[in-house]
Formats: sequence, C-alpha cells, structure tokens
Amino acid sequence: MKGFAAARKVLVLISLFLFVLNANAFGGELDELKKEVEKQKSVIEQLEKRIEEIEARGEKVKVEESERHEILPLFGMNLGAFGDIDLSSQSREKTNGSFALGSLSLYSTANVGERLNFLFEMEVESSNAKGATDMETHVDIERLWAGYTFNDFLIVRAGRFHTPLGWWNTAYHHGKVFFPSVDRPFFLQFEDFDGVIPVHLVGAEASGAVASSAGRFKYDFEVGNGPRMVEEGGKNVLTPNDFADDNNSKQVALRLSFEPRWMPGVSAGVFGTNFKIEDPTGAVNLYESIYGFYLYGKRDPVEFTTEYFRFRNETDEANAYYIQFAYMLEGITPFIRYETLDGGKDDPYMNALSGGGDRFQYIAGVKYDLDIIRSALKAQYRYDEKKGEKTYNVLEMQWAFHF
Amino acid sequence: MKFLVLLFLLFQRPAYALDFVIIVNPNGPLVKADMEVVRDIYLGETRFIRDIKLKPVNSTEGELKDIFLKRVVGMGLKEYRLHWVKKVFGEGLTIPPSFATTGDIVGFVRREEGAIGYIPKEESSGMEGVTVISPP
Repeated sequence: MKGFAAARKVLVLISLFLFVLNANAFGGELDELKKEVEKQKSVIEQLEKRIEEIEARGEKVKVEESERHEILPLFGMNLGAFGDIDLSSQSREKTNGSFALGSLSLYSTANVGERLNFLFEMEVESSNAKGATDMETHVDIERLWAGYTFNDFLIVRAGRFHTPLGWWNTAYHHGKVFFPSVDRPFFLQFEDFDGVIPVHLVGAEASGAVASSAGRFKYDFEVGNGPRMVEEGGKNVLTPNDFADDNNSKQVALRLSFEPRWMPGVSAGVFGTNFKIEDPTGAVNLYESIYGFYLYGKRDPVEFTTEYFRFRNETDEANAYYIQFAYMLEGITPFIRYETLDGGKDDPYMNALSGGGDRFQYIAGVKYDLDIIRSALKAQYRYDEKKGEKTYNVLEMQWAFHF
Repeated sequence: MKFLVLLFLLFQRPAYALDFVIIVNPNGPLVKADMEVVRDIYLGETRFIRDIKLKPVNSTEGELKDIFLKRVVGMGLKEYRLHWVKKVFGEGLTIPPSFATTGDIVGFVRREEGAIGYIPKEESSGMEGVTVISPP
C-alpha cells in the first residue's frame, strides 16, 4: 500500500515535470512561431509598400507618356504604302513589251480627339510618255486634307480630294490591290495619264449620310479650283489647279447615293460637275458639264460595277461608260470588263484632250489574292481599239501590294 | 423521306458553340439600339448619336469575334478587315480597338458613354454598370 502510494506520487511528479517541460517547449515553439509571423508581416508590409511605389511610378509613367503623346507628331504613326510592279506586252502605252515600276502611293492618316482627322497621300510615279527618250520619275501630292466631323450628317474637309464622280474614283483611290484589273477604265485614268475627267479637286468638301429604315442616303459636295489643260510631251492633258485657279469660275461637284437595307452590298448614285476650262492656245474656252450614274453591287460571289458619264458643252456631247463583272472564288477572282468613250465629232473638249478620241476596250483576266489586304497577282488580256490608231492585243500582269 | 430530312438539315442555321451578348453603357445613346444600328456602328457608318461619339470595341481574334462578325455585321474576319482598311485609307478613320478579356471589354463599356461591345453569354451574369441590349 505504502509502495503504491509512493509510486503514485512519483508518477504525478514525473507527469508534472513532463507537463512543465512540454509547456516550456510548446511555449518556445509558440514564440518561434510568433517571431516568424512578425517577420512575415514585415515582409508583406514591405512588399505592399513596394507595389504602391511601382503603381504610383507606373501611373506617373502613363501620365508622362500620355503628355508626351499629346505633343508628339502624329504623321507616320499610321503610315501605309500601295505599290505595283507590272509586265506588259506592246501596247498603246508601251512601245515594247516591258517590266515597269507601276506606282508607289504613300499615305498617312491621323485622328485627334473625336472629331478632327487628317489624311495625306503622295504618289511617286514614272512618266509613261510613249516614245519619250527620258523617263522621268516625279512626285505628286494626290490627296491632302484636314477634316472635322460635326455629326454623321456633316463632315467638312478642306484640301485636295478625289472628286465624287461615279464609284471607282472614291472607292479605290490609288489602291490597285483592291480592284481586280491591272488598271482603271481608261477614261477614268488620272489626269496626267490621259484621263478625260477631272478626278482631283483642290477646295472644300461637305459630306454625310442619313440612315433610314429604307437604307442609307449619302451626299458628297465639293467646290474648288476647276482643272486646266496643259501641254505635256506634245499632247494636252487635264491638270488640277493645285496652287492657283486659272480663272474666276469654281468647279462644283455633287454626288447623291443610296444603299438600300434590303440589299446589303449595293450602292447606286447620281453625280454631276461643272467647270470652266481653257486649252493652252486659248482656242478652247468653255463650260463643261459631266454627269451620270453608277451602280455597284457585291453579293458573294458576284461583284458588278457600272458607271455612265455624259459630257456636255455648248457645242457637242460625248459618252463614256464601263461594265464590269467579277466572280469571287476562294482567293481567285476572274473578271471581265467592257469600257468605251464615244466623243462627239465636233466636241472641242474631247478633241483638245489627247485621251479624248473614240476608243473601246474589252478586258478579261483573273486576280489572285495572296493576301486579301496585302498582295494580289493579276493577269489579263486587253483588246484596245481607238479610232484612227492601231489596234492592240495586250497581255499584262501585275503584282500589287499594300504594306 | 431521308432525303427530305437531309435537305432540311442542310438549310439549318449552324448552331454556334459560343453564344454572346451585346453590352452598352447604360447612360449612353445605345440602350435601345437595334441590330441594324449595331451593324452600322461596327462598320464605321454611324459614328455619332445625339452628339455622342460612339465607341465600338471588338474582342481579340478568335471564335467570339468570328461569330459576332458573322451574325451581326454579316462579314467574315477577312472581309471585315478589308472593309476597315478601305475606311482608313479612304476616310482617315480608325479601326475599332480590340480587347483580350471580358473584364477589359466590360470595363471600357462601363467607362465610356458611347461604348458598345460583346462578351460571351456565359460570362455576362452579375455584371454591373453595363446594359445588355439584345442577345442576337
């Protein structure tokens, strides 16, 4: 009994001893833990402070960049180029089968705020004067304008534009990669390439659109310096009066178009322009009116375009039109086009211009899109007949690109 | 009979794996916009309503954008890009920006009065600060 009681006492003492020992050990671990937690808290606080500093610096960098951006020049931030390289058999334009640097069009656009924008387009091209002994390369400012958008109904611009006559001139500008043929219809060519329509104008423009349940009505109105005729390489061509008008009369141009809701991809319009023009000798001094209509439709896989132009002055009248069909397969677009200019026999305007003679062309070809935006290969056959001149059967190829 | 069933199936609209909703700023002019207006906005044809500049945003390229462009704008991606290249080159406009995440799109639409965007339908529940105008 006594022994048992003693053993029990020893047991209690040992338990107590172990308890105290463990308590001490546990307390020690707890302290260690507490220290570790404090340490981690301190690290977290430092990290949080660091993040705040970085964020504050990031914001400051953003503000600085934003302020810098406000004053940085915008030209070139959106800069693109259209170009083409051509191969052609003998033609009215080229005495021999030739490779050719087509054209290089550089453009840049910029938007400031919600309503102000700018556009610049410059073309570098080689002279195509047939028989010329000295091929020149020259630079033209094709388009240069500043614009302000009041609302969808009124956009005002000032500068140099493509005139809103027909469809082609404002749909494609100088972007050959966008259309299936090697070049524009001949009578729609640019002025220095024997075109008979003033496709550029320096002045002011108002344009806009109104949407309705029936569709979208659009208008484009321009007023500016009319063109003049100049003598270049022994022939008369039109040229826009970029720096000064050669008479007191201003050219006006208006186009009204409609895009029906029930037929997406279709656009139809009427247009007209009037201007005073003189030739270099003064023999031609008249008011010329050009008016007409266009119809464009694109419903996969078919694309159809036609434009009709009527030229009129106090002496005579002339007509020009083209019809084009394209069939869009996967990346490949075969097309055909008929184009014609029928100048009035006594028309002083057409008779004075080197591109004004009666002429028609049949064109059939194919366009292959290497990339629908960037690059296209084209090949076409062109039958070219002009009154009083040789007829040509021309084979042409083109690599058009945009980057 | 089998032929008729096959013919019927051939002309069915494809069921898209990914559905989306169109969201607009609740204080802006687009809360009652219909799909024709949305289409015009994404094509750059309608740029202002009640003097407020409209700001469409796209999702970055992928299934969501493809489905939206097909169903609302009526174009494939390549055709849409071509349309905007011509808008930039012809009229000096700027293509709508693209955002990578639903959060970015919702944040933009929440901030900008004239904003409109589209997000996956499955991610649209519980959103605050934007209005769903129409599941197309």
